[in-house]
Amino acid sequence: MQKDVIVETRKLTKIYRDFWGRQKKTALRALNIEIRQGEVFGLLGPNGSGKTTTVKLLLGLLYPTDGEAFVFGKPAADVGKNERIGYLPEESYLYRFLDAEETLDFYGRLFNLPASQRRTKAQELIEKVGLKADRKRPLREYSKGMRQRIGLAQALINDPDLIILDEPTSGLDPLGARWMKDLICDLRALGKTVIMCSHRLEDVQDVCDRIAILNEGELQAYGEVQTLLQDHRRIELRASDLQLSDDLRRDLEELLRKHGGKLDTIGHPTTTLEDYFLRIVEESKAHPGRRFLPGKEPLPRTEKVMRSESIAPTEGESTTRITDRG
Amino acid sequence: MFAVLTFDRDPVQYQDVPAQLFSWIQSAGGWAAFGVLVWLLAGYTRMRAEDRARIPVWQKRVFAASVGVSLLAYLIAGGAWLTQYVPRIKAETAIATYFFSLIIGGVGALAAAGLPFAVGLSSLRFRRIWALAKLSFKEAVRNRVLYGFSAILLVFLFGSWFIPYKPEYQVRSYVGVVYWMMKVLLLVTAIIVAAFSIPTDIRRQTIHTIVTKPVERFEIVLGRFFGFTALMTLVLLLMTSVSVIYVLRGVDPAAAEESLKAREPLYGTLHFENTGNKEKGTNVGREWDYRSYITAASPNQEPQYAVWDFAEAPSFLADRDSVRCEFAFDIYRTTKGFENRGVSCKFEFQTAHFNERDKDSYNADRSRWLSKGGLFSQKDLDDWLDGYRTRLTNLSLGPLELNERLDKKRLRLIAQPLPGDPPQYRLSDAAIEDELAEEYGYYVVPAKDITDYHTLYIDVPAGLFRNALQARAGAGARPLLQVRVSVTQQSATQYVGMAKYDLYWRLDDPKSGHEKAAFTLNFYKGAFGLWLRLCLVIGLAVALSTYLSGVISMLVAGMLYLGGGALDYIQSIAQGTAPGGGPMEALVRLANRQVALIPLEDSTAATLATSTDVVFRWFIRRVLDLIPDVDRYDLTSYVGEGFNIPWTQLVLDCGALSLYLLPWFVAAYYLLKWREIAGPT
Repeated sequence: MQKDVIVETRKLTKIYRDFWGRQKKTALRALNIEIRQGEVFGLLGPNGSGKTTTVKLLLGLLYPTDGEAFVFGKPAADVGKNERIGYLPEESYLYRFLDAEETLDFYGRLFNLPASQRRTKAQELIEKVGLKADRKRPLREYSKGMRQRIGLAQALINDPDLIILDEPTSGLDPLGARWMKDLICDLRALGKTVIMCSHRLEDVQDVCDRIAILNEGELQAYGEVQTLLQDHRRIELRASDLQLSDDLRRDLEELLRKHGGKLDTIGHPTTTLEDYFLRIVEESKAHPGRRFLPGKEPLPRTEKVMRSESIAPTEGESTTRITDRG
Repeated sequence: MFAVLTFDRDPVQYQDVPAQLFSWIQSAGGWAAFGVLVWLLAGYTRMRAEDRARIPVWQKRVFAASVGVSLLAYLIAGGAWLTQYVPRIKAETAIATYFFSLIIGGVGALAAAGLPFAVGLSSLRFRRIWALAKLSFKEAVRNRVLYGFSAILLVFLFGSWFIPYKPEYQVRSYVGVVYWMMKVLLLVTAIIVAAFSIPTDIRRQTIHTIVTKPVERFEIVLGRFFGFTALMTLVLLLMTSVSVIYVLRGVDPAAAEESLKAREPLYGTLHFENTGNKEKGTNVGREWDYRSYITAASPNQEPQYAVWDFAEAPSFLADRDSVRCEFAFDIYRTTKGFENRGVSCKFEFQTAHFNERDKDSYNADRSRWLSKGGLFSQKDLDDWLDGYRTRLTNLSLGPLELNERLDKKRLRLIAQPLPGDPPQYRLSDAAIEDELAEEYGYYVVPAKDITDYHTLYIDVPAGLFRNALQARAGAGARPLLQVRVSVTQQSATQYVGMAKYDLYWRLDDPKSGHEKAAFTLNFYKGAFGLWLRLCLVIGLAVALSTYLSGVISMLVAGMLYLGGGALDYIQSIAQGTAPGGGPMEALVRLANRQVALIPLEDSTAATLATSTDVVFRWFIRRVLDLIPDVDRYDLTSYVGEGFNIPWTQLVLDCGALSLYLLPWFVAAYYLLKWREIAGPT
């Protein structure tokens, strides 16, 4: 095993059997992957493809039928390796009768942390995941997003070197999802290794350095995201301070033809809906009281305070207007 | 009947421990051997080579050696068993070889099965177990489990409507009802809470966030066990405290006199004289043969005696004024007798130093000195001391000791001089009895009326104990102290029934005035018996739930507990002493319409049935190892009848429970360790 390899699987196979030992389903077949220190690794695949099985095998929740899995150079069944692992399950399966502080204190004890360290760490994490105001409420009263946040906090209580996240953004609103992705990037910046399973491909694309795609328990693709997604047959060119015109198109076509290529499309790029949504929410925070009104400019950029007005949309008007209430 | 403590089996004592330990090693070792065999066949053969390679070499060696020793010992045991068919070999040798081989085989199997468990114990950390215990505690409290316990309020509020209020039953009834209610509430709650905890964790997947921490899986078992035990302990303490107030509050004085105490009995051994059998008295035909009966002398019958021998007595009894001897006998009347009169019995108390020939002399001295009206002249005392000197001379004592004893007696006799000339000395009747008891080692109550099943007592002068505890010169092999009971001629046609535990000395001082406090302490000791049963069901349910689902764990734990209640009957089936035999024999009897008590006729079917039952009994004996001895932890009768629960009993019960639960916990260790916590989804 190389020095910086944190997780390694060798022909890892899992076959589920019934009580009589008859084969029911092959969940994973001869998986060989390596995950290196400091990277964010994505496990992708449709439902039942074996990604959660892989995670459970790595955590020792399941035992392999064949092959081996090593985490920090130790077999996956070794309890000692868990000292350096943080795990956020798909559903945040925590004890609902505990509040946030008690939850973190409990998991801190499982890491044998002394009381003072548990207290400090719990406060720090509760602030980090934004649950300070709700820290005394039992988890049964939490929304799914809040449970996911406290779940993440418990996964970080031991300051782990390897964080395994199963569907970390599921159940989170776009703000929460962005927060989660930012946090994953922060963890990478700190030199931590992150493994994440997700259905949300855009999330994986946003944060993962490398991915493995599984289907029917078999590895289909494996490598760096950029390399895998790169389309070598096409070239993308971006420019600014230009007006779209027929002249420009013509000149470009001529230039490209000269180099043996052809122009496919030309136009203004669009932002992602996520970016647009986040910008709207951020700005609404900056302008408390502002609300959506039809027929106004979409996003006034000035700080000017305007009197509230109610304008009914006129016939045929399709644009939207935003107004501030003073 | 009240304040009578009966024992179906003798109370446990330290000297029974080795035998019980050997028996435990044999049965637990047998199960361990079975477990190791199953693992070798089904587990080791399927183990992947890389997993086998990870087992440390020293562990492999110790395991192999233990299995080898065990196998060899079991082979020898099998050979010894077979020798019963070889007439040339002595049966004792074969039995001893069989017995010790089973022990050695058991030790080997236990070592093999317990090795990974013992190694695994070193990884356990208290802080994690504590965290899991606290979690279990909080879980039960916050899920409002405790609300169920408020049902006991029904007893406190309305119990007196239904509990029989006859004064002599009061303490027993109240104690019985509150213990029963506590038992039902606590055991049912404990078994449900404990059986469902781990399966619920697995079903809800909350266990995933625990086992992915550096937690040994056995810590979860221990955490659950300690958490629920702590919770139930607190509830039990609270309920016991409220219950003891409820029992103490308004108890009838007559009932308090009988049972609101904690007698500390000193039991002796019982034998009979002139009954034809030393072990048994006369059989009066009662179905329950717990007691044996004696009757008075008749023209062709010597007087029958029930004799209690006491080999030891603590020296502090000699420092009291008197020592209480309590007894409760059963009466079997063959005639109506006298109206409102009991059966008259003679009680003789004698020490090892007592000489039968001195009986007349004792009686003469006793009537002479008691007739003095409590006033003694110097001459009386000199006469008394002269008589004493003569008897001491017969004992061949050294001159120093002889003079010392005489001097001490003189000082006691002249302790209360009266003013006047010639000098006179006062001696109370009790003091005279005390002196005579010490002098002769004898005390007699010629006629004591016995009433059926009522606890009565005789305050015996402590002088008897001073005599008994003197140096044992010339006492030979006689017991330190003897109590001889016989029926007097006054009640010639009546029978009095008695058992070993029906007569005892009170080690506690009945006149100390601390009886209520002693009862209260005893009440808590009784609750300790319930606590042990709580630990038992919690341990069982948690251990079972590591493999079985919640409902099944609850049912199995409940069945085992209830099976413990019927242990005696199951034992009688296992040993083939139950009337009607085993299931096959019972089937033959059913088919032939034969009653259970008549021996089977010789036939092929009968032979086949009884032989099949031998195999069946072997299986029942193995199942018997799994069933807890629940009754031994039930101490209610001690408290209800007003008898102190000996600390020995509590300590040994703790030990017995630990030994019972240990194999279950070892099994739980492996079951949870080998189990895949996550499922296919």
